[in-house]
Amino acid sequence: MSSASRSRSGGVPLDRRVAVALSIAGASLFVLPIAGLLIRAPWSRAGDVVSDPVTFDALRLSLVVSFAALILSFLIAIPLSWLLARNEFPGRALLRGLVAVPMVLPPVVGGVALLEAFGRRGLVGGLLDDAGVILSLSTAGATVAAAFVAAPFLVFALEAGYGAVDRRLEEAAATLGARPGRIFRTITFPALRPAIVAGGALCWARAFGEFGATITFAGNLQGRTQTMPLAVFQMLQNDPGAAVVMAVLPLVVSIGLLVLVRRRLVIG
Amino acid sequence: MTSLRARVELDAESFHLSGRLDVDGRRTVALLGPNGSGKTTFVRSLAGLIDVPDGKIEVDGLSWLDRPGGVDLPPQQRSVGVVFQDLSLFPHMSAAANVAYGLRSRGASRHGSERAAIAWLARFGSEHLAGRLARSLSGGEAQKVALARALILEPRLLLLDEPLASLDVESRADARHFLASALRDFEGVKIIVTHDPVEAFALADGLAIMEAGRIVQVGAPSEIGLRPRSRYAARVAGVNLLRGTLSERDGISILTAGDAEIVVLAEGVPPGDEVFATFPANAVTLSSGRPHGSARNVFPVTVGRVESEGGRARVALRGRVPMTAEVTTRSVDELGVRTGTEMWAAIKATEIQVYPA
Repeated sequence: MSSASRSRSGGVPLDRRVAVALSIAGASLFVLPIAGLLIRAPWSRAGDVVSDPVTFDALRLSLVVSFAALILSFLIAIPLSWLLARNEFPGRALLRGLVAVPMVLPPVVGGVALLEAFGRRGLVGGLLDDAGVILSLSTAGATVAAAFVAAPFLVFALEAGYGAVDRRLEEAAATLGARPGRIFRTITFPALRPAIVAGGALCWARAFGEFGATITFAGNLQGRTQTMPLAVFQMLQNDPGAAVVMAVLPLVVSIGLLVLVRRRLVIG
Repeated sequence: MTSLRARVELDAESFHLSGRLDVDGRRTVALLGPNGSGKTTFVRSLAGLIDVPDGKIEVDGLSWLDRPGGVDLPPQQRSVGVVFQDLSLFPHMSAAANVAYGLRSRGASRHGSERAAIAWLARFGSEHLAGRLARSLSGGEAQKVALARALILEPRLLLLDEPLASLDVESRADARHFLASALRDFEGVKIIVTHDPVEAFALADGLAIMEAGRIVQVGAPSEIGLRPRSRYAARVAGVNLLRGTLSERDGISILTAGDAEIVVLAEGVPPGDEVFATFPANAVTLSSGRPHGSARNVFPVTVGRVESEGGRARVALRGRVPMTAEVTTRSVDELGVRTGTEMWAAIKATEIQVYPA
């Protein structure tokens, strides 16, 4: 009898108290830095920092680059995730492994790799040059760097999403005369939506916070490649107080997005 | 003229499927077989949902499949309606949108299809469900929506894969009754997949018995009841089945099945032939000691499973001639029939039907 009531509460009472204590200790790892940022920021200088064109450029560029990277990631992830989730072919495991590489690679190394491929002296840099596409020291380059590190999150989220799509519903639609395009639009896509929202949020957040690959591949040029993290990093070396105030901005933007998609993330 | 001619050969995961089925007229054929015998695979191949490397499917004289080479219409171009085992309603759409889906896929206007869908739901007394999300429907409601969705395009071939399997026991009888009347009005060929003989006899005017990937017998229910050609068909018909060779000795016909010899009356079947022999379970008499009566077919047996229901008991018997006996529960008590008991079983020769294998 007593053992049944204990198991209903998820374990013996002592266990739960220990778990709560450990959780609070663990959560402080996330909460304290944010509190530190908010408490220690020299708020009297907020006006100067916000009106500084460097800040404005960086914030604008961060939004442009992160959303452009999100779009680029969708262009990559939609066909790739379909290929991985719905097709049997030799080398599928290898392809999946290759897609995962940017997730485990130190971003700076990723930036170096991007230089060797798409830089002016890179493998295909010359071809891109001839086509008029210049990635190094350009906003396009910063976008590519952000998508390089962020797209795999979307690919894997969508691939997992396909696993949650009921194939039998697609078959039912086919017997009712729906062509593949209509099946995708009316059956597959609605079932994929939670994965699209969750994966998209994760992908955008990774792109928004991207630092290493961007600074290595695209450089640190105000108004062209200097996104918020790069600007904060540079400011930290010249004017640490202003850097702390500046750092609050991306924090607000990130938390804003999190609140916006929170319900979807929980449901998805 | 409504007709289906189908021959399908394919390798499924655990068996080779070899199905041949011809249906003429607006008939309902029950595809009956044990679980895993390939029934679902067969109807999926008719709908075009499975790749068939070898076979022919013709519906109303129109070729849907002719392989290898030649025709293989995708499901979209086959005039087929399917009620899937789990119904497979689109959960995020309303009942009306589910029913209207086929018309919309064929380019009909939103308004027109919606109206036609509600009319179809009304035919099944379900127009009040039109606005409900499919995922919120009960089993019986969902079944009607699924049937309306499959019928709205007036397909030439209607496939129902275990249409009652998703229902609980209470609503099953109602749903079976509804289904039987709905199917009567439908003009095309109907195939119902089921593993439940009660369902098959209630809904179909023809049976196709499927076992281990093969359609082993096709015929009217009464014909299969009288002359089953497989152990499964015999069990469905509620009779015992033996297979053996017929011989004649001193003017008496003897069936040799395994190492048992059984005296039979074989009128019109020449000796030397492979034959089937059936006898009803209630033609078997049980006794504790060796009987001295007129029955010549007397075998020592060991009692297996005993199942009683409503004053009768079905007793599985092991021995040289494995069989099932049906006796009264009173004689079960009097004779002390229990699993493991050694007894004698007698079958009257006049009760045994013999026909060529």
